[in-house]
Amino acid sequence: MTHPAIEVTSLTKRFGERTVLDGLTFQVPAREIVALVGPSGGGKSTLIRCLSGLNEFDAGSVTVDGTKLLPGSQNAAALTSLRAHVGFVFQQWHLFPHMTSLANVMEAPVHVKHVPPAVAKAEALELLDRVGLSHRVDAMPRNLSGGEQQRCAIARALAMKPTVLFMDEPTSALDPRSIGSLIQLLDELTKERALTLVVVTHEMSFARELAHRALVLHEGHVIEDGAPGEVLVNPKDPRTRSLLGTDR
Amino acid sequence: MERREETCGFMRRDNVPGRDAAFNRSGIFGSVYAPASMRAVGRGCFLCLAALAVVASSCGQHELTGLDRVRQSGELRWGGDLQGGEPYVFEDPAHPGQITGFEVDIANAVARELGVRARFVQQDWSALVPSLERGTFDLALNGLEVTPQRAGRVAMTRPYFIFSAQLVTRKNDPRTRTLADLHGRRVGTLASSFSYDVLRASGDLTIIPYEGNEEPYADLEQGRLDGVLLDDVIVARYGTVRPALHMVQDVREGYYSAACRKRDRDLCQAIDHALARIAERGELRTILRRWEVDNDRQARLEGWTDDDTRAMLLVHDTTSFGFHHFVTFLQGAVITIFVSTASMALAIPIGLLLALARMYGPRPISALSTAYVELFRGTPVLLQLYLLYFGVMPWVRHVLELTAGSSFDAFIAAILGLGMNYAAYEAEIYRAGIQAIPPGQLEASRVLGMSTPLALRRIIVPQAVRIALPGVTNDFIALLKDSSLVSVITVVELTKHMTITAVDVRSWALPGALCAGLYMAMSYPLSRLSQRLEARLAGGS
Repeated sequence: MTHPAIEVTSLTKRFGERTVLDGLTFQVPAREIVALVGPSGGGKSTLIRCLSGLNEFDAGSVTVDGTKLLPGSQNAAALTSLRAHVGFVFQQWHLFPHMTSLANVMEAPVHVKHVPPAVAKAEALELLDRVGLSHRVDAMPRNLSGGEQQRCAIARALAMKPTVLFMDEPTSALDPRSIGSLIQLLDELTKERALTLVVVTHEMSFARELAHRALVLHEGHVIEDGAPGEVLVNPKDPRTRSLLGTDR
Repeated sequence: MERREETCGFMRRDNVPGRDAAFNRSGIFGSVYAPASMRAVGRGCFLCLAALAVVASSCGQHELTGLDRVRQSGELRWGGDLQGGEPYVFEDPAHPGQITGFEVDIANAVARELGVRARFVQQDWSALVPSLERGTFDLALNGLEVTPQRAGRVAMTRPYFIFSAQLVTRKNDPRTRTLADLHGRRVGTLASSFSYDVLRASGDLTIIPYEGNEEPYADLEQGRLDGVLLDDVIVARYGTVRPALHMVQDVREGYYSAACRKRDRDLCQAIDHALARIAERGELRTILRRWEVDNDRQARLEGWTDDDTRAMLLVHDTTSFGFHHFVTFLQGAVITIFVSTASMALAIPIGLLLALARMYGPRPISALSTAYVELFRGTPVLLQLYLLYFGVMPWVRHVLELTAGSSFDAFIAAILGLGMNYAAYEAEIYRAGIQAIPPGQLEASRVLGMSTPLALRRIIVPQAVRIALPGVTNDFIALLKDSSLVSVITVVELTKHMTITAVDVRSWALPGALCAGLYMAMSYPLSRLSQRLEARLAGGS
């Protein structure tokens, strides 16, 4: 791939009077793992929601894996094309509560891509095994632990074979040991599947260990952009320093 | 409670028979504006109360005889129903607040003979006899036909009017001249009336019971009936005024008498004597002439003897509740289940479409759906049934140039009417269910590439159904009981069989209890089933 996986140009998003994203411009090369960090309300979640077509935006443009989104409500073709390449793991996972883990993972391949159910099932079982849920394939989401629900949600997203995966605050419901295994899992999956991964987090150690690159968002602007080891250890911007200080 | 057995139903003459009947009915079963479940509960309670009242009224309070009591109080309280309309007892259009009618004049004349004042007590016609027994008034005087059942239940005086049950048919059906020509065909009349008994004794007829005076003639005109048998007073005012209809046969004579409680025999006798005196001196016929109901038959009232009264009351029915009644109840229950199930099967998909259209449809569709819900929820289901059966369906047949109406019309109207009404309630239940699903579910579906319809079908609606299930079951149970409303458009279901039987056996207690038991037997398994379903489906987040 020659073009970047994600290309954001002058992206502006307002909620009423409040400007949440203020003319953001950056690119993410394919197969890069990017951590979006910054204080609450800095626009991190809004950014990945705009990048995956969940939120409209007011100005600028977003191109994800060759599909370009423009301000305002998107046309259905652009969204369909975008979503064929994008996976999203929500902070609260939003598994379908009336379906087993297996059915959650099979749902979109069977009903959106019309993959034959037998094929979809084999792939889903493989994915669930890959995320360590082979013993919970018939469990209902309400009987899964937080970590298990998250891994099920990752499997569900990956079942659609995305090239770009967004994750919103994946560490918020995990204990430190689980965070370690999540980092390992994501590291392996991005390599195996040639994924570009954008993770919103406020867990600095998570960002440092997982990401190739950190973007610090503050009041709608990117105030730091660089390798996590540098940006998060020796920040140039005083606001980043204060962010790291409160974080520790 | 006794159902209208009479030719003087509640129908006022009006250009919109459906509307009137709908409002008139409200008096019997509580407000038609009440929520569906309340209406149904109200109806059930009324039956129980009526049964209790009958039991209670048979014991207690006899210090004074009836006549002494009337003389002491100085007034004769007599019961009637203003909605019976002209010429019986009705509100004087020229003097609002005042009542008038030939029965008002007769009651006044009788009271004068007793040396007391007459005081009118308004009572729904269907509850006249139970109210009399309860002591709400001393005398019921409102088109009470002498029937064997009634003669067995209350003390009846000599008649004050002799009517003729007349057969009316369509002019374009000239070969039908007598009741005998109607064998195997459909004949309408008022439920539990004198004419109803005559028809039942005539063998091979399909008897269609009505609750108002206007409707059987409307259906006869439509071709849904082949004949209507009713009292001449009604024929003249509601039947032969329709140009397509004509009277072909005087089938049987009958009598309007006043009724007292059985234990007030002295009062009954005093009123009987009073009637004899006003008849003898010609006052009775003067009254009848004034109201244009006099004819040659009424001459016999002037020479009427006590022997004539005895002969008139000789046949009094003492039929008791039997196995064949039970069989008709079961048949009624089958109709109730059929109508309710078919209506619900219609209401569920329409309701779901309405809810989805309202929440996710483009603006005009959404507005239409909202309007539908408000219209059908905001107007009485009884009115909707009437309009559908007597208004919309004949019009559709006319426009599409279909053949005349048939016996299917009533079933189709019943199922369509209840189904479309309940769809409005279903829509709101589903809407609440869908709104209870966290927005994250739709977002999760969208990022997986699902279209809105697919997400609704696979993700949102299946979850909403679990939330809506108790409400839907609740509605279905309410519908089981609301289905009794379709008897007004001639579908004879369980409650209708019960009211007809109760009149036959002169008691509400046993038929009422059995009817209640059958409704319970239908609804209880439903609520059990729903509990089990809920437990099985309990998968909500």
